Amino acid sequence: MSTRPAATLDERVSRFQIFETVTPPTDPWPVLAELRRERPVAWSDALGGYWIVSRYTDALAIFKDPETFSSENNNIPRRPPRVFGRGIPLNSDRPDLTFYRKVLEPLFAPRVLAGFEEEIRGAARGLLAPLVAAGGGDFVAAFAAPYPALFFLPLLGLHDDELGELLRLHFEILETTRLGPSADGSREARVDAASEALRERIVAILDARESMSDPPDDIVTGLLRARAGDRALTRDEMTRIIRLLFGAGLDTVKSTITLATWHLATNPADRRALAADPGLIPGAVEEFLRYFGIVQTGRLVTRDVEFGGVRMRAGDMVLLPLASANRDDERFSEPNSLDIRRSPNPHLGFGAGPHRCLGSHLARLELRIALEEIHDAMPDFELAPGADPRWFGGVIIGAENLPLTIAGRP
Amino acid sequence: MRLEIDTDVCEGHGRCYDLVPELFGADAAGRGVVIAAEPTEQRRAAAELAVRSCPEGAITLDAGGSR
Repeated sequence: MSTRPAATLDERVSRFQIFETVTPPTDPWPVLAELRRERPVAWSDALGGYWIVSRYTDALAIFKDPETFSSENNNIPRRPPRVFGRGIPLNSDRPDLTFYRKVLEPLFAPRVLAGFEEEIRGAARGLLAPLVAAGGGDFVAAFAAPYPALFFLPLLGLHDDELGELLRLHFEILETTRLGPSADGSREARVDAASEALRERIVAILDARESMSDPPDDIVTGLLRARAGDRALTRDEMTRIIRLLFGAGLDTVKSTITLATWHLATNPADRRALAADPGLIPGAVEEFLRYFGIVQTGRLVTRDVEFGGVRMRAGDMVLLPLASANRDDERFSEPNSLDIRRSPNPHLGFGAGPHRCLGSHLARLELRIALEEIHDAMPDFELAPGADPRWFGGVIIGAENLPLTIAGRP
Repeated sequence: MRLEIDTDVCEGHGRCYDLVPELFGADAAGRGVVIAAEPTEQRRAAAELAVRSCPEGAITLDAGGSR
């Protein structure tokens, strides 16, 4: 057996990038724990070069300083806007951001979403019933992928009778987000083709609304009616908002419910606790959001600045792995243990500052209802024998599959 | 004691009104609103939980003015 000298921290940092496979998601990238201890703001030469900010307080400070750390580009390496132009409001800066948030936040406020609870619950029940009847199956295909789409896509004016096609477009639009850029441009070409197909649908939706006397009470109508002062959204702005919501509202919930269900399948004490006392579910949802920290976002430095002991320059990119900020032991006791009763839990799973996840209240509602219905429909489940979930990294950590065995009711 | 939300700092995470609905509510945009600005001593622990749960640090509990 040959022995090689252990890689230095520099070498480990230069090898790290979010698109490498994560196995397992309980500690997706161990090098981040080292960086939190030893080099909280670290430079990596990978992917064109970028700063890795690993601590909670530093990530929070960056989220709250959008003038210095712009969201104009969240991707590492930087990716110019393609078919749709920059995402709204994700890639917007002030003062436009303030306008967009002002018109969008009321559409995603808890009091509006509360009216959809039974509809979301119905979607969950409808998807779980065949999975339970079959005694198990792939949780991702049967539940996690279609669940957020069934409710949300019709709100965007997209019809659920072509759910499979829309999920395919969603999957392809996020290909570079999931896998990183490709050397030969093939991934980017697929992203563009899928984006073009989505844009045609959005244009058709907006066209149809112009002649509708009694439009449905959905997000599209909300966008058409949105005003702040005398400013309304332009058609191009609406198109970019709908595209952004289409890209942001599905995979995030899919990944979180998949990872939560994986945890419960492999930790029967937590599964039994939630099944016995659904009152624990909202707190457990927060802990899943903290512990898995599925989103690895970025910021663009707008001016030369001293930050965390380093000199950043205008044009640099900064990676903010929420999976790292949420595991900072300066902020959370025993951060590497998943504690469904953790309190308080000021995690950054939805980011912070003016770009705080617009859909966070919808995500929480969908996750709570999913867990309530899962425990109601299938109180006893585990990983299928020989199950081998395939995890992936990327901007959103997730799994391709999660084979479960579901026990019949006693 | 006095409970306040700095509306310039609040970004609408909603942790306060989810956790402590007896002291906080939500406005039409989902931002937190204090509904009991001078909570009783019995509610101190609940108020402190909201303070420590806000990711933005937008909530303050002023201990002054003994009641």
